[in-house]
Amino acid sequence: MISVCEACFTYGKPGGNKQRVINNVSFEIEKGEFVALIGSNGSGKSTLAMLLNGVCTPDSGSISVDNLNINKSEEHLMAKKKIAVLFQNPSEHIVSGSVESDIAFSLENYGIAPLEIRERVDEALSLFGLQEFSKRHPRQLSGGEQQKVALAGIWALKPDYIICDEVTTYLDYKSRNLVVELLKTFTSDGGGVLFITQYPIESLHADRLLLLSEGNIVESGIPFELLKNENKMNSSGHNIPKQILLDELLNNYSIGRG
Amino acid sequence: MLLNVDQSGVSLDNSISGKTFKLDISNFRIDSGETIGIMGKAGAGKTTFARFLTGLIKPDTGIIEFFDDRLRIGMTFQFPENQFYLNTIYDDIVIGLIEKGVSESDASDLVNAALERVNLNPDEFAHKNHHCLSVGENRRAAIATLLCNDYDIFVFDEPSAGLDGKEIENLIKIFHNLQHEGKTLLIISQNSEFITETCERLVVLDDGRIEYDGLISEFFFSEELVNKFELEIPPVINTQLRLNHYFGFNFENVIKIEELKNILDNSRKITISDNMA
Repeated sequence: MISVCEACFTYGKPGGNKQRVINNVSFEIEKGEFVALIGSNGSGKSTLAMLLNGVCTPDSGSISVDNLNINKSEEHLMAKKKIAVLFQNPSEHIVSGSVESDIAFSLENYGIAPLEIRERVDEALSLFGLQEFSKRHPRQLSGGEQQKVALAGIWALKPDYIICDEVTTYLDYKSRNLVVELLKTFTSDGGGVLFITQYPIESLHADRLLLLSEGNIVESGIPFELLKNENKMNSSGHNIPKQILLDELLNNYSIGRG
Repeated sequence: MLLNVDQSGVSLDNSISGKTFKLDISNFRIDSGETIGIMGKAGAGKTTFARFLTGLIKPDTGIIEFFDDRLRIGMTFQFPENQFYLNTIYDDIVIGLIEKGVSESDASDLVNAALERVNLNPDEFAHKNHHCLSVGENRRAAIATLLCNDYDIFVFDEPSAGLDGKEIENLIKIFHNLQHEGKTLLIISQNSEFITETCERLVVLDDGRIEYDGLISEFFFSEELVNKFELEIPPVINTQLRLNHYFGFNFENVIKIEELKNILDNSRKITISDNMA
């Protein structure tokens, strides 16, 4: 289980301007659970992802993965191996000169045997439809294709938990669906997912939806119930998704016809 | 007409590590005041196509015909926030004007006016570092950079990507204002809902070729076309397809949710009054 307990985080240097962006946030993600999170631009979503990855350390509170505190130096590496974070800009993930070596990079750093690396890379290339790009430089690919390379790299790590920070933003429709389906399979196989998205309608696939506003989790509940609540959606910088409004319209229409 | 590529077309061969990507465009024109949506799968050539039109990439063969030598095209790229590198948003925007020889006081007026047009109060935002702005604010600041220069054609590569619903509303308002001013816009997006809110004409690219160039409504009401190019049907059109299927309607061109609501409301009134009669 990922456990975030009363975490706070502030940007800024001592003595300089400070801005608290995560404010007393607590939530948990169980194994096998698909949790979505939405919030307005600047609400702290990406900072939360960085806290979960141990890139940032909370001012107070704690973050643990299967009871391993990600901010304790003696537990950090073991905790990090359990959790993989994918950020919104795929170019931030690109470190190697070819797609396949990029996918292999983290595996090599984790000391995995070369034969197993080859197997995992081939499996990820196939799963994300990247075989034909395997020898190409990732930066020669489109934004959407780069995002798939970054996802394949995360997938090959076989983590226990995946944190996705707006990973579908630059993907085409088919690839967005592919990613959501793969993540659902990942959770049904026992993994845990935090899926941060700017497409609120995508959260319908989740077991639970968290709304983040100004660094606070202001709501946690069943995605459909939150998505159709205008006040709650507005608090997270969004409107009710059009598809849900239109479904209501259809329901009203069918009643009217009756 | 602003720009034309005739039937003989323009092409670009881009062979990389054994994989050839070929962009092959013909019979494409842009008329003044149009807003054109450009869609297609990842890797279809959308960004390359835009770079083609803006002159950032030269075609190997063929000619893009510009109908005015002074025609100027401005473009915001994917991740436009990456284009900022100076200490303040003001510095980042003004530098292009100063390099073009605009006087400092004129440049200052242009920057402040452009920031106001994108709903960023200059007093609040001009002297902030871009790291202190949200993704949406950075995106609007990048658009302000374009607005300072009175371009004839504005090209936006994935402008709505990563924005929350309120910021997307802001962006749609900015684009509608540009349309009212008679500007010509090319909008690349994976978001079919955003494209239907802003454009009437749709160009769909696939494997480096224009495979559809026509009205948005005609494209999305065609199941065959939508399936062929694997695009998402916008919710408002998806709903009409269901209405056509289940209630025997014959919708084929409504793309705004308000228009659909009005039609359904009127239809309900008629149905209810018929029942009462």
